Parts: sequence; C-alpha cells; structure tokens
Amino acid sequence: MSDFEFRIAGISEGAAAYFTPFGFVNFDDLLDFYFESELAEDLSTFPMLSFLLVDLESDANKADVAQRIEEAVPSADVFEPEALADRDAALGRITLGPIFGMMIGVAYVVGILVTAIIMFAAVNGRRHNLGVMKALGFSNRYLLRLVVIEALLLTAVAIPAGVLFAIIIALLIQSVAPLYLILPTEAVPLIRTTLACGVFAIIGSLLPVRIIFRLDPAMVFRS
Amino acid sequence: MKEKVVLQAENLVKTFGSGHTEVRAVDDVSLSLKQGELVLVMGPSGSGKTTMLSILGGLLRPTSGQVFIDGTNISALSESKLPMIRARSVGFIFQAFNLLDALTVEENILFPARLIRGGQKEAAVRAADLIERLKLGPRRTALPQTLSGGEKQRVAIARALINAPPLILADEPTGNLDSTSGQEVMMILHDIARDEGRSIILVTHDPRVEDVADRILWLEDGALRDRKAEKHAWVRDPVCGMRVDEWTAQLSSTYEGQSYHFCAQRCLERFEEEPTRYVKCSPGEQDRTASSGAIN
Amino acid sequence: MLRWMIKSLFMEPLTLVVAIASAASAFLLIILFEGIFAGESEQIVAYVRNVKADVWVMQRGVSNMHMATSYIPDWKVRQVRELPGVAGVEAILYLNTVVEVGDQRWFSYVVGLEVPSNYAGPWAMAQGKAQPSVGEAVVPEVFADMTRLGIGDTLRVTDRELTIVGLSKETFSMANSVIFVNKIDLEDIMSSFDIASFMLVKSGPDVSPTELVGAIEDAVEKVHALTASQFLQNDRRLAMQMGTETIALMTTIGAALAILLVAFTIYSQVMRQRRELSVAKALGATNRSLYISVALQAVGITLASVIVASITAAALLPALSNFIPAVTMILTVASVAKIAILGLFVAITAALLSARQIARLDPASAFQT
Repeated sequence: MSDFEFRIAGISEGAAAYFTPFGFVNFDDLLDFYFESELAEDLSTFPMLSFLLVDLESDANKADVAQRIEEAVPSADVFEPEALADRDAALGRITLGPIFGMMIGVAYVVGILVTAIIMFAAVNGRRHNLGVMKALGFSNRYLLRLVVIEALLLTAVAIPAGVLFAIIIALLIQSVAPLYLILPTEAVPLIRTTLACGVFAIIGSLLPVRIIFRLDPAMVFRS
Repeated sequence: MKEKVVLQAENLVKTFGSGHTEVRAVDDVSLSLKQGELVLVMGPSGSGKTTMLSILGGLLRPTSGQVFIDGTNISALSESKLPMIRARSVGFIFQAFNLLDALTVEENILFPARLIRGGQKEAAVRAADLIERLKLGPRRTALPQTLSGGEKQRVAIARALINAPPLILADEPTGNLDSTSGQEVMMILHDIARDEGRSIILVTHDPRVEDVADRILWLEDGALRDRKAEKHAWVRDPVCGMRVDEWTAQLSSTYEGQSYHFCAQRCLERFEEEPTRYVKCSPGEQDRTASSGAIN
Repeated sequence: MLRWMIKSLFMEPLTLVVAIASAASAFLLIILFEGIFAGESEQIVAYVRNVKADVWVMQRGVSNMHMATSYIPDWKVRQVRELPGVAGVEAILYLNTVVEVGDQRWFSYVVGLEVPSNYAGPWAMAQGKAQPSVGEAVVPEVFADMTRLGIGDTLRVTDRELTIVGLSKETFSMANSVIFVNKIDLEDIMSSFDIASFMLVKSGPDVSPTELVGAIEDAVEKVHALTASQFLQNDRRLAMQMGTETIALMTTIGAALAILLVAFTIYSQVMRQRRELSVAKALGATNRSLYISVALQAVGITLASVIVASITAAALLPALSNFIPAVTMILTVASVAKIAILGLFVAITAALLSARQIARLDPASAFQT
C-alpha cells in the first residue's frame, strides 16, 4: 500500500464492501509511513487521527458524554454509531439511487410486459370456453373481471415463489462473490415490489381485453 | 393397371393399455389394396377405423403385424425414416381438413412438396394443374379461414395429391360438408382412383359412397370383414326400432322360428324377457327395410 | 417450412409485438446498465482526461487518482519545476470527502487549485468564474441543479463554508463530482500545509513525456511519475474493475430473463400450433425440420428484440441523460455487439427448450376432430 509492503496476518469477515473494503494495519506502521514519506518534519503539526472510537462506562449517558466532548473539542463532531451508519447509508443511496432507480424502472416495464404476454396467451388459449360463457349470458365486464382476478391470483402465487427464488439467487451470488450483500427480504422494498406486481397484474391482464370483447358467442355452434 | 398391389397389411394388431384395461383397437386385420382401387371402410364409432388408418399411413406403430406400401415394409423402418415415406407415398385427407391457417391455398397445396428435396418446379406445375382441375383458381391466394367447407376439402385433396403418392387415406372426408359438397368430393376421389390409378382407402359413415366403391369393408371391434357390394339388408331391432344391418349384426335371437337382430345387448335382454311384447309381425316375418337404406 | 413458420408468427401480431417488446426490455436493461457503467466510468476519469497535463507526479506507490491518497511536500514541487525539459508545473491538493448542501450530503472530489491555474482547473464553464479564491468554490452545473444552488449560495466542505462562484461543465458523476476550491482553503481543512497531492507537469518542446517521467523519477526521491495516457489508463482500469462483476451479474440476469421470455413465446407458439405441427408431421415433416424452423422463429424474435432494444437505447439514452442529468450514459458499439451475441445464445437456448415439446407431438392426432 502506497509503496509500503505489509504482510497479510489475518483475514477478517464482514469488512468487505463494494466501494470501501476495510484493511487494518498497525498504528506504528502508519507513523513509519508518514516518516518515510517526508510529509512532515514535525509530526505534531500533521493530522494523525481520523476518528476516535469511544467506549462509555456502563452508567454513562450517551447524549451527555457527546455534548461534553463537543464542548471540550469544538472542532470535532460526535455521532452515535447507528447515526453515523445511517448517514453513510444515505450517502450510498444518493450516489447509487438514480442509477438503480432507472434500472428498476426498466425492470418494472419488463414485469408489466411479461404479465401481459402470459395473460394474452392464457385468454387466447381459452377463446372457445370464454365464447361459451358469453353464449350462456356472461357479460364482457364479468369476463374481464375474471381475467384480472386470475392474473392477481397468479401474481399472489408467483410473489412468494419469486422471493424464494431471489433468496436462492442471492445466496448463490454471495457464495460466489461475497463482496455483494443482497437482502431480498427487506420489508420496505418487498412491500413496494409486491404492490407493484399487483399493479402489473391488473395492467397486464388488460391486454387481452380486445379478444374478450370481440369474442363471438355464436362460435359455440362451430366445431 | 389394377394388378399391382400398392398396400399390403398383414395381421395387424394394436392394443392400448395393459392388463384388464387393455383395449384391442385393431384385431388381426389383414388387407391388400391394388392400384386404382377405392376401398370403403365402414363401421360404428369406436370400431378402430381411425387407428387402422393411422397404422396404414405410418402414423402409428402396430403392436404386431406388418404394413407394406409399394413393397416397402414400413413397420420395420425406424421412426426417422417414416416421415419421408409419408411425404412420398401417402396422401392424407382429414375430416377436419387440417389446412395450415397461415398459408394460402396454393401454399397449402405445395406444403408436402417442400418436404422433399428437389423437384420444386415440377411441383409448382402440378399444383397449378390441381388448382385448375379442382376449380380453386379464383381462391389461389386465399387463406383457409375465408374458404367454404367444400373448398377446404378440395384444397386438402390437392395437397394429398401434390407428391403423386400411390396411396390416399381419407378419414371421413365428407363428414363436415353439406350434401352437395360431399357428393362433389366423393366424385373427385372416385375420379382420382379411376383416372390416375391412385389407391384410396376411405373411412366414412356416408352410405352414398358405397355406390362408387370397388370394395366395402366392415370394421367392428377392431376386426375387419368384407361387406357384400350389393345393397344392405336392413332390419329393425324389434325393441328400440333402430335399423340393424342383418349381415353384420352380432346380436341375434330366435323366437318361434324367426330370427331377430338387435343393435345392443340391452335390447336383446329385454326381448328375451318378454318376446311377445315386441313381436308385432306374424311369425316368419321381420320388418325389413328397403335395401336402399330408407326406413319407413 | 420456414415460410410457414414465419407467417404463423404473424398470425397473432399483437402477441408477437408483446413478446418482442418484453424480450427487448430485458436486453434494454443490459444495454442501459452497460451504458450507465460506460458513461459513469468515463465521468470518473473526466478530470484526468480533460486537464492538459503531459506528466502526472504523485507520491511513490500511488498510480491513479480515483479514490487515492497522495501527499508530496511542496519542496519537491519546486524540485520538479527546476528540472530541464519541464515547461510548467501546477500542483493540486486533492481530497475525497462529503460535501454538505443544506441537509443533503454528496460524495465529492475536492481539488485545491493554486490560483491562477492555467490547466489544472475546470476546462468548461457554464457560469461564473473558473478560479476560486479563498472562501470560494466552483461546483458542477448538474450538482447545482440537483441541489438547487446558484452563484452566491454556500456549501460546506467538512466544517468550512464556501461560496459558489462558478458552475463548471462535464465535472459531475454519481460516483464523484469534482469541486474546485482554493488550495489554501483545502490545506486549512486538511490541516496539512506546504503539501500537494499531484503535480501536473507540462513537458517542453524538445522532451517527450516518457523522457520526462524518467528524468523526474531520477531527480526526485520517493515520487512516482506517469505520462498522462498511462495515468488515465490506470484510473480507467480501476473504475472499470469496480463495475465488472456487477456488469456480469446484470448481464446474466438480463440474459436469463430474455431466455425465459423468448422461450415462453416459442412455447406458446408451439402450443398454439400443435395441431398444425402434428399435421405437418403426418404429412411427412421430420422432427429435425420442425426443430430448425422453431429455432429460426426464436432467432427471428430475438433478432427483432435486439434491434428494438438497440434502437430504443439509441433514442432513449440521450433523452434520459437530459432528463436525469445526474447519470451519464453512453451507448457503445461494444454493448450492442454484446447484446447481439447474447441474443443468439438466448435464441438457441429458448429453441432447445421447445425441442421436447415438438418431439412429443403425435402425428396420429391429425386424425382427431
């Protein structure tokens, strides 16, 4: 690293991240690095520390301690670990949000089209049955409602199957490329996707509406 | 012309299922067909006519027995060789026409010709000739959905003839047609057999066809026997009144010296329980219908 | 046979259109992602690509700029400046940090310029001045639009508030925006004085950049010098490397989706046509000829999908870039070629999946009414 050789002494778990993997070296080596690089004649003028990780006594109040540190060191900011993690996560979302948002948008379009093609094939294959129903007195609206309900039922069955599939694929990816952490069962995205699939089902099942409306009930008499 | 044997079937058996569910759809059928013969196969529904036709055309393998088409034992051929036999040697005419919806009349007729390498130009000439002969000229570029039943069957006949096969197998070719179209189709088939020397096996319920057939075969419960070419001897079942062919009837009973024929076991049983209830004619006479098949 | 298969596809035009559209969407997903990756990778190296240095000098052991940390004492800058063959040196201080705008936070590359700078600063401006004085900043135009900032507004770099005096062009990417500040401000922020991160060196008329690299490394201890093209290559490679696996993942998912969609279309087509296929078998068509015809149907659908996806991408990418200026997208010939090859694989796989269907069709069923 930066012209210094370090011997790997240990392999950590969970410290890899997509853009920011963590490597740990001895602080003394860091001092040597600064000395070697001739960056500062006097190390007291050079910033040596990035973060202080503070452990509190068991009866200490976090908020009080934080305030006291900020008063004592005005140039420092104090965060609880969860708050710092949240800020970093938010930054990640801002950075990657538009990119993945766009791809998810395209994936949603794919979802609608897939549902449409499946419902179209389903209705097309049952023209005669639907014609018989029309002959027996069922209205176009009723038949359309049937198709929409069928699409929703199919979706209801497909979603858990899809989640299971996603979990399997995630495990597979993570075993092959452990750098990636994939969480297909996070509540908010899952709910959002489920609702979106419901909307796809409704939109997709409207594609064969023309077939339904144009079915001739007199076809029942033809072989 | 009529001496060459085009089709020879020997001891054909076809069974479906096994054990007590086994069904013998074709039961030891043997037949031969000479060049230019038009043979009718008749029989009740479920008698095995379509199964037999499928075996003769190489669409189904018999459980045992052999089929020879133009001297070739098709039963001994591997699955991969059968399509070429069907394309070159057999023409199929189906009750449901089975035209290909996406193709025009001309394209449908030429379809089997495209399955054989080479000879496309000759096929095109033959197709043009067939279109003219079968009066399909104005409909050459039409799609099947726009054709009448009679037109569709004429296209199917033309398709069956495009590769000049020695054997034509027709399954109820008039089944979906009105009487005029049906008659027209029958006469076309008759002319094909007589004028072109093609051998035709025709499965049908249509009694009018009997008049143009060289031979009539009766298939019932998978077994085949020759029908006399003369007119039918129809008698009435005394119990239900349905007409029964005296020569092929399987269920009979004798009462006071008179033979009675029945359409079903149930009718026979009822008769035997109470014969006097059903015997209306004087002894020695059973109601016979006119031989043309008309029932009074 | 082929004519029949093609005509059959067009018997249900709406189904065909939906099938092509769905498969095209799957391919579009891949193209979009590749386009975004290509665009963003180019943006990551935008600074290195556009500033007019011949040689880059940095701390020994460092060989790129993206996410790197490099410190060189000022006296080494003077050393390089005095070397024969050096026409000019501009030193920059460089920091990866988070910039705060109101309650929004953005990851940025902050470049501290020695003002006046001839070639180390912004190369294209939308508004305002390009050379930030102390207490000032030049931010990307896209960044300003997204954060609703303008000339005269302020932003925060660590604990320092700076006033925006200029809006630069071509300096924004989702992974890094380049914000120019005065070097004095950055030294103060970093509490690191009399140092630089990189030297941007111009070579004289009689010296090639390669020769200058050797001369600098010989004369100055503990520095690494690279020609601009080598430095750019290193940065680009690193940027690409970060996304290669993700690209492979997305491509696999997109391809799998496309296979499923095309296979389903072919399966539905075969199901719809099974009676006709049985008839064709009865009339003498071999399984092989039917497989080939179905495979060609699959190829046709896939080819159409690839074309639709490529055309849509070509039209969509510039429009999306205008609509979402935060994301840079480039449609490359390589990605279209990749989709085409992938498409062939998709078609063959989809067709193979229907082979068993075809083999099981019973020609004797042609006699059934």
